[in-house]
Amino acid sequence: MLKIDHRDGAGRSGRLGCGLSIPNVLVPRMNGEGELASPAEMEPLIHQGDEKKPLIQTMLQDGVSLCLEKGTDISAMDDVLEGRSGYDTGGSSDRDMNDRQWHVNWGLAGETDVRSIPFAGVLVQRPAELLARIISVRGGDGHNHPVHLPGVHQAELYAVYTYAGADIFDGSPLVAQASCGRRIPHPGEPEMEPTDFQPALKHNLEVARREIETVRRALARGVLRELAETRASSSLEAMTVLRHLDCRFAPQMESISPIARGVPMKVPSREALSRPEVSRWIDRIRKRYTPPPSAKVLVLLPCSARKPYSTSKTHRILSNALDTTGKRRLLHEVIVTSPLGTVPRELENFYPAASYDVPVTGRYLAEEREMIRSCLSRMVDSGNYSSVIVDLREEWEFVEDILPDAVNVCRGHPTSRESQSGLRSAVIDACQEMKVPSKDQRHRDDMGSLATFQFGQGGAVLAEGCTVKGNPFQRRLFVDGDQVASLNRDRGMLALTLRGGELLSSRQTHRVEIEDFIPKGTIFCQGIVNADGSIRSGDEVVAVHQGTVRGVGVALVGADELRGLDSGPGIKTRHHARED
Amino acid sequence: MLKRFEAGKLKGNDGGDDRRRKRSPRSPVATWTEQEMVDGKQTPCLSIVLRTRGCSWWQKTGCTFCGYCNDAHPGVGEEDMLAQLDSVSDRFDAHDFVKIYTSGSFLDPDEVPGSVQRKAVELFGQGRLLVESRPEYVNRSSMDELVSGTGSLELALGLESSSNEVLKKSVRKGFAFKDYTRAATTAREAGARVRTYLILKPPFLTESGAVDDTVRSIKDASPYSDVISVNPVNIQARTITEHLWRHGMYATPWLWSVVDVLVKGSIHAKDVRLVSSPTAGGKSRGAHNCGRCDRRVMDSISRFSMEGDVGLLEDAGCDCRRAWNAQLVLEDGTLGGYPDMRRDIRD
Repeated sequence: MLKIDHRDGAGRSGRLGCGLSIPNVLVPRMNGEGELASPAEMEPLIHQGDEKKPLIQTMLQDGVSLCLEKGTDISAMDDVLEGRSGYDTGGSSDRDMNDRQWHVNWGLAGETDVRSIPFAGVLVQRPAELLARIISVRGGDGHNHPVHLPGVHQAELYAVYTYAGADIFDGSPLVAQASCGRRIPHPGEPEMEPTDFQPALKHNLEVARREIETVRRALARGVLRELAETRASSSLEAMTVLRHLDCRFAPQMESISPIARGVPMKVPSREALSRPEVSRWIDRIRKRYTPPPSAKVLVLLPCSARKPYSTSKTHRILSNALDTTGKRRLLHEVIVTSPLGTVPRELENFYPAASYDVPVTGRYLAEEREMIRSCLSRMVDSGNYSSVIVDLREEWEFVEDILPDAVNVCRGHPTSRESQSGLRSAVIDACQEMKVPSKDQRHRDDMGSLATFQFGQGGAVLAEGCTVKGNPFQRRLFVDGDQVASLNRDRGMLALTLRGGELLSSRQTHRVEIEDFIPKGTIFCQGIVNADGSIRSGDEVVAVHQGTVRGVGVALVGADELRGLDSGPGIKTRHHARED
Repeated sequence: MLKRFEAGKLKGNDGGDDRRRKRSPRSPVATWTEQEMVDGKQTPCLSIVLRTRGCSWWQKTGCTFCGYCNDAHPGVGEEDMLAQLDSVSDRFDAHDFVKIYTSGSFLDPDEVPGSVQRKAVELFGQGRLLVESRPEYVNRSSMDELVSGTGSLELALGLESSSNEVLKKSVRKGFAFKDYTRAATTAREAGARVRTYLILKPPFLTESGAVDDTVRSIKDASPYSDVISVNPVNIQARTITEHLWRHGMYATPWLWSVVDVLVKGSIHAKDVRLVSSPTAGGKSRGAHNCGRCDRRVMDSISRFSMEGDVGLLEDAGCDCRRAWNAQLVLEDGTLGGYPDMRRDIRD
């Protein structure tokens, strides 16, 4: 049984029933004189506490069975050679990937099957193939098993491959390197002079130990992605892995990445511009989001260093200026930013808009400009705006041509007196003839936009004809007198009530089918039958049993893991049905 | 069989490849002389590789490491082969020991017609003659004919391994150990000597698995053999092994493994000469060590092959032996991903 403590991306830390903690490196066991047993007995590099030391007998007692007898047979080997169909994800080989078992199972102290990927040490030179196999092995039931990459020992790759879903690395090559006196450098550091076997071995194991401990710490703090980017910046191999994950395997990584994290999203490098949280935001704005119908005038505002934007000085000044026009409920305020492109005001508390950090220099990279332009033109097209008002300085230069009828009121700085008065008069000009919608109407529209962004089109049911009560810190949504959801400013997401869960489940979205019970605290994966594919870790979900809502809560893992995991917490219940 | 390798087979050969078309069907692939032990005496020996239309097994599927059919020529006819024999006999004096190899089986009448077989025996059969064949072409009548025509006949059988699993999966030999024992027994009953070729480290074996397999094969083949020759794999063009090698999924054996096999095999090889002459030994496509000790170890292997004294074999004296030792122990657990440390040492 695999107990998982922390997750980030597809990475996880925790321990197996036998006590082996992951991520880890298996190293050959040596006696006091530094001699190896033959065949090598493997043991984990890092033991925690007084756990029983699990000994792992290598699966292959003689070379003949190498990837031939267990899991794969020689006919599979033929396919590997012939066009390598199974390895190649470039073509339409998804079927092949699923049909064939791409791993070798071997016992680990008799408890949990470790899934080893044969030839991983060779495939590490062709990262796309190795990643395809890791992702294939991890899917579905595979979430219950640690993934082992035999032959992969490079410390600088631990972070990226853990992020991709691998759990156990191989220390044998570290011993092999040491047998030639080679010392592997710490990740990112230059090569080292060779030395004798024993000191080289001690050094190599220390490098591996330190890196694995770093990966674990990153997982515990929720910053594995950031660590992976750091490693990628100094290793071509690691960078290749990360780029493949962000491009070729983006859908798989998006589906396993959490919807919200407890730490700010830092965007220090180009690589971070394509991380799943960012591409998910851009994608959802494009596909799910519709602007509030009662907002007729689009106002484009600059972003601020402080998040959420409303709490910043810049936005307090701008809000003040907009409030004094008395027309603010006619405006759709959209913040233009990198790397998220566009953040509508009503979504500003949603992760990662609520907490991200970019290096602010006022200069934008070519890909950032392109991304902002495409997000903006999409935003302009999707809304029914009568005019566009802009208060942007640096960004105006590269968005001017896609906003032909826009008025830029920025003079000097977006918050300068001239800009503020320009903004005010532009708003009054634009809204002259228009009737300002009621407060209720505008709140309802904003909640509709938020609900469809959070839940997809089915989410609209929560806001149709709803009444919004409460203050900006805690808004509550009522439909026909029943509260359906609340919006907490800290999370920026709608939290469902039972009634809300019923409405949402009537639209067949964000449902988790559970066994016949009333969930009172945590719903464990044992009790979960199925889950809608759109669910991500951190999403609001509805627990249903044969069509009746049994509870609502927050998914602790994504849809694929909810379905595939045999144990461990799956949903934290907030409200549950009455027992009768 | 794999499509990409079929291009190299005979069908694809008739005309496409300029390099091979230039080779004349009327000239042998190669001829050379070397020293051999005959009845305890060093004797000069003539080796001939005839150009034929290719091995029958290759035309079906072929072995994983064998590229000898690259030397075959689809247009070789009876006349051409007779001309090859004549040209060799014109160029060389008579030798007491002559070895005739083909790209496949000397005894396969489709590959080497009866007239060519008889001519070869007539021209080169005065002393000892060695011919090579797959076991399916060995029968009592053909052996009787050859034995009666020669001073002494030595039949070379490419067994490669005594393990049927290795034969099937790693070598793809197309026959089993019992086919070999039948052929060897038939040959001996007809009065021929038997020379058994074993392969060291065909693909999909680890270094230690390969050593174990060959030592076991020496033990199993000894009762049927007069000479056992251990051949470490060398990477030949257009083979599965070359493909795997290029993709990092195969590495040729260490010379230390050859030495280890010879030392351990000697214990089992009673009344049998154990020899090895690693093709491309010490080079990147052949069995090799770190690069510093290769020549020394190669020399010791050829001296052992002549004199049969295990004490002549080098089994120490270079740091790279530790890396080899580590590989024997560690490679199994890496499921094919073990790094080839020899490259690093060479740097």
